Amino acid sequence: MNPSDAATIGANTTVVGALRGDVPLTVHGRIEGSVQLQALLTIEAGATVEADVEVASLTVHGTLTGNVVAADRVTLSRSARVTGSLRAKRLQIEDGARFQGKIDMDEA
Amino acid sequence: MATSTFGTKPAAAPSAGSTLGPGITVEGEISGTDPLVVQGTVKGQVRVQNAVTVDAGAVVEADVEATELRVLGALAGNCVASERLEVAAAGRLIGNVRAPRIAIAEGAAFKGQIDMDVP
Amino acid sequence: MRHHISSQHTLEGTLRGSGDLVIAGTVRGDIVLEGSVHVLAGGSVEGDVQCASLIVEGRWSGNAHLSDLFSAHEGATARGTLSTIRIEVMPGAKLQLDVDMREPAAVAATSPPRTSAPAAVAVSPPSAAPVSAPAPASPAPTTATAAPDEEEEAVEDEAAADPGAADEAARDEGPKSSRKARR
Repeated sequence: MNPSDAATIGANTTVVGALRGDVPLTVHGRIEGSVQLQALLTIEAGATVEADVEVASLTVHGTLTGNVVAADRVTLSRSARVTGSLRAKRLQIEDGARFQGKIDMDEA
Repeated sequence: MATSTFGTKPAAAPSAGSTLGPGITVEGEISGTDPLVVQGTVKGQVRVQNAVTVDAGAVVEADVEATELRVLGALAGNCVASERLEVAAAGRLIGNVRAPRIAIAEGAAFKGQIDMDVP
Repeated sequence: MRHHISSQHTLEGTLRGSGDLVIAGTVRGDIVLEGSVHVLAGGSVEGDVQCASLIVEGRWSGNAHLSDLFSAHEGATARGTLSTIRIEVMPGAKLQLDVDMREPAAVAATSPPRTSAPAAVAVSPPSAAPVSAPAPASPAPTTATAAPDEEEEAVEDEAAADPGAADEAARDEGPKSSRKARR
């Protein structure tokens, strides 16, 4: 995958609505709505996402409110603030992260 | 506050067996095949196919089955030791006991029936 | 004091007390401990756990109420409900958990109490007396100065987690205090 295909939402940008794609997306600003991404979604420190999120993988350093379904892995770093449900194959939560909701990893 | 435990191993486990130290109270049944040392309180039942030690200060209110049973604390219950029973000088044992070999030290307190006729 | 349940032992019943507990075997029943509970790989706990920290390398299912850290290692299986202050999860852990994270008690006590600030707003007369009147009704402002012991910690957690309730209490008291002030 060409790195220049990666998408970014800048710190002073707000996206309201449904966001879809298949390239890695890094959010520094704000998303309200829904995200469907067949790639890695990165929510940077200071970013806020209020959306249900369906992704290949997710890394959160900022704030996420919404339900997450990840085909592969979810990582919450120590600055992450997440409220909602998490469904993923692999999960990593760093001490310091704050999480409220359900964790569902019950797959055969 | 606990430090993150990733990358650290707990202190080496004590030699095989269970230890219930002072400050622990168990209400229920303990069973298994490793030695057991009780220093706290156990109410219920102990069925261990190995040595059981009721340590000084321990309070056990339970029927106990063991291979070797050593009582240095307080034990109230019926006991079966398939190999031997020992009550130390500081020990107190109230209950019926069955064991092929028995040693009750001078100063120990004992009340109950003794049956040494183990086939 | 470190307690240990061997891989060859099963305990059916409740465990209560002080110290840390390392479980290599099987426990079916509830555990209430002042220290930490560590379920080793191969160990299994089915029951409610109330302690400082719960570290799972093996299996645990039940309801956990912790005053410090929940830690799940690679290979761990954890199912149930979790109320905790801190959480860490290593890749490879398999969780099925309802998670509620509480604010650390120390933060609630030392930071400007969120609950008393709104109380001051609700009780509009400027004098200090009406502000202090509602304070005894809600535990959080008074425990800001008290050294938290175990019971107060639990109360603080509830007050901190539910500032709305303290606000309501303050608002209820407000009009009465205003009337007092006017006299």
